[in-house]
Amino acid sequence: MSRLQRIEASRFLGREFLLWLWFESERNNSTFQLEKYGEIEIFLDDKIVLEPLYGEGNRHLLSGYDPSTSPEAAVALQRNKIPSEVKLKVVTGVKGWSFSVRGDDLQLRGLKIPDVLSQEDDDRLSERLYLLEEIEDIMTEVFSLFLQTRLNQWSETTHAIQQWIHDKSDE
Amino acid sequence: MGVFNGNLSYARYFVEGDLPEEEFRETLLKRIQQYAIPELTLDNEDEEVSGWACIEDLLDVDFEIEKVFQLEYILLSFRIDRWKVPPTLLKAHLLKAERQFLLENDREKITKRERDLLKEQVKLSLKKQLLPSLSVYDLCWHPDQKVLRFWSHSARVNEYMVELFEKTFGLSLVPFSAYTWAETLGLSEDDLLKMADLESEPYAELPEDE
Repeated sequence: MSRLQRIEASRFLGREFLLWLWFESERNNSTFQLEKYGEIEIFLDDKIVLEPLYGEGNRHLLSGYDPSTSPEAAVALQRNKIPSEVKLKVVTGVKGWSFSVRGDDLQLRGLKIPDVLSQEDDDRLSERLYLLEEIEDIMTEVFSLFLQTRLNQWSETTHAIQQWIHDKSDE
Repeated sequence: MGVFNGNLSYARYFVEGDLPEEEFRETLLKRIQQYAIPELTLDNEDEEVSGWACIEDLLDVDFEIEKVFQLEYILLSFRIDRWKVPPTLLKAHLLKAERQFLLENDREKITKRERDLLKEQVKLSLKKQLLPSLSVYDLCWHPDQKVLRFWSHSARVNEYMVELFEKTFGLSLVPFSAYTWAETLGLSEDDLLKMADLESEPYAELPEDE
């Protein structure tokens, strides 16, 4: 399999990553334990787009206050739709970032970084890019956690996700 | 919105290939200068041109080390200049020119070839009254980390930039994706292959009525 074929064959994992983030965030009270950054929090913010991974089906755009806990989100999940885009908030200590991620390319969009404090141009640039690289680094560690699970323990995780989706109908 | 200000909405790439070992900055600067954005003139056959400009002044194409190499980054603007003649304006002026042509030649109809010629003349005369439109996108490249960030998500703009970057530096840009991200995590070849063979699971019962 060529590299290009591998890239395309595994593209769906981006959307599964968003589903896993949602599931883990709800299951663990938004906390994730990372090696380098310790305990961090990841919240689903005010936008979720859900659609079927393959084939035809309606696209659900949910926005407003906490759409991840809405009945519409539960119904969409129960109809085998998974998130194709989510807006996330990531918090470590006193620092917080927010951004959107699409499962298909996993790029960070509309990234808001913590307030930059420096006044000098060079320092501001340095601080800004440092904060940008820091969130990329955090998300890389989170993605690595997902991949370890996806490659080694996905059967158990699938059952837990199925149960979580099922339980959402009772909420 | 870009490297210096505002929200950060950018596409990430991994840079592949070898950089010059000697006179690294000077060599790259020469290459950037070579692909600086050319002037878009009326005589130019193309409707648009693209190339590099300095990041802190989009009209500056006189590249110097301190303008391009800041901190550990290479900072550039990718600029696209194009003639944008508003279609409604072009249509109105073409109609006027056609009427004039028929009157002057005492004719009732105009051929397609004559209309095409008139259209080019009208377009040129309108271009003389307009300035080209400029689009600018920031680029931030960390050569040690081999990561490039580009401030546009437009597929067309990204395609143009990648083409110019690869031509300028002789390096490849690999788009960010689940697989290329995983490649940076030190996974074994077996795990990477396994990743590409994975299939999705049915996470919920399929609805009967959809």
